[in-house]
Amino acid sequence: MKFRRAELHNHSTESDGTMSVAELIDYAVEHRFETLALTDHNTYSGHRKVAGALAGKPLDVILGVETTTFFGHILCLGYGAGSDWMSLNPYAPEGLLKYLKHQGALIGLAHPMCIGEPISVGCQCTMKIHDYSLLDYIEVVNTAAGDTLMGNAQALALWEELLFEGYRLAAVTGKDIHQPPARLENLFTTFAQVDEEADNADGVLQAIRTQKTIISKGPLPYVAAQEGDTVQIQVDNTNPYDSWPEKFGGIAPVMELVTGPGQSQISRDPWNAPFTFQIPASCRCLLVKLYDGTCDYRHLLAVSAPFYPGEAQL
Amino acid sequence: MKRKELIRVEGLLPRAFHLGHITYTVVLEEPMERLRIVSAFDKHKIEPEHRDELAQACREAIHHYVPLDQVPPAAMDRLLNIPKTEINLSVFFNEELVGCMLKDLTRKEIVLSPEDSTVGFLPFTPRPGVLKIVLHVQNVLNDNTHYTLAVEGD
Repeated sequence: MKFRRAELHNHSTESDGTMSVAELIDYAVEHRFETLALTDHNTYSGHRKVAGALAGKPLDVILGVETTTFFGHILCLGYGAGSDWMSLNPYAPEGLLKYLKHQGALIGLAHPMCIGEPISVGCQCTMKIHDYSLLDYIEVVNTAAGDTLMGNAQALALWEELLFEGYRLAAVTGKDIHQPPARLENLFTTFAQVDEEADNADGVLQAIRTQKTIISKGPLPYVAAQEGDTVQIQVDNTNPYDSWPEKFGGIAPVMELVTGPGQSQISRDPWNAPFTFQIPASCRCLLVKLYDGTCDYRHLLAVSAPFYPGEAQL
Repeated sequence: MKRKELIRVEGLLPRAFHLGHITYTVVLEEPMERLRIVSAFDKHKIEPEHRDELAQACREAIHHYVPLDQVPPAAMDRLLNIPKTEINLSVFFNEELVGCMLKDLTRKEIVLSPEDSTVGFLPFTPRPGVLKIVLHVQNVLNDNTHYTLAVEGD
């Protein structure tokens, strides 16, 4: 198993970004993105420019579109076409979601809980979704602006709530690049759990499809084994992202195993050995969350992919 | 080839329109070398008579996320200055998307041709068929916001 970094929300001059497709690709290569999704607003005109700009560079590109409606933004990965998003019924958006799915896109809500009108019109997800099973993922952290006004803590809470209601949704992050970010330190990003032979864009898409994405500022928690009602959790601290191996020694490690709404177990043991937890018989889904010292969003460092006890995932 | 005017329209939008799409459809009857599309609107930002009302609405929105006294003055000024009217534009031909210009510009100029098109748009050969221009009107802040759209073919 490998962990492949994926930056899944980015804009070029084809919409309202300041970098051309070629410049965005060079930026991604320079900053070791590994995987870059091109998701311009309501256009795929940049897709035909990717191959030439990419030739031979150490980067995979996922072609996509950010379907930008007045009632929320829908990221569509593996998608290069238009849609009749103008006909979206915000009180019953399932028609548009079904159309996008039928076209083969992996679809996710971008910044669903960010500040809305009148400051940011259309960015918050105000459409009334009745069937979340039509979505593949939620962008739970968007680092284009501060966490507070992007509603990142609320988006993460929404994803967890849906997860424990039984929806199979991946959690991802997005830099929502419109210009080179002012800083790249201390930001969440997405790591896809991929097989060695699928260490590429297709592997990332498959990871999203099967909810095998970790959001992290460095450490990578995952369920390594399950035996009966016991799970073994490991944390990979070798990830070079944002110099994590150097930072790791200076944090106060806290691990939270979340087994249901309001149900969790805490451990403050160091992360350099596997953890064993006993899980309730009623547990259908569990998450591992890592913190620096305090169990709150401000000190959150990573959230694992959801694990479904009893299902063949290891 | 002689320039041919295909669409030339204008209109006034009230604040009540707020969010919506305005579609103009025209049948192209002959091949052409290129299309030029120009759309424009005025009243990008809030006008003085509505400024206080908008600022209050912004503060209420911010307050849902953070106590107002925790927002530094410079940040508050920046946030209060964000709201703006946008009219973005998509082009379809025979119901297929040619492209979209979503940019914070009050004047948008687009050229579509088979060799190359303005960024945001695919190369396009004007030929007999149905051309559809959609104006995506977002956040009309002021009454009597005036817009124009012109489409010419060479």
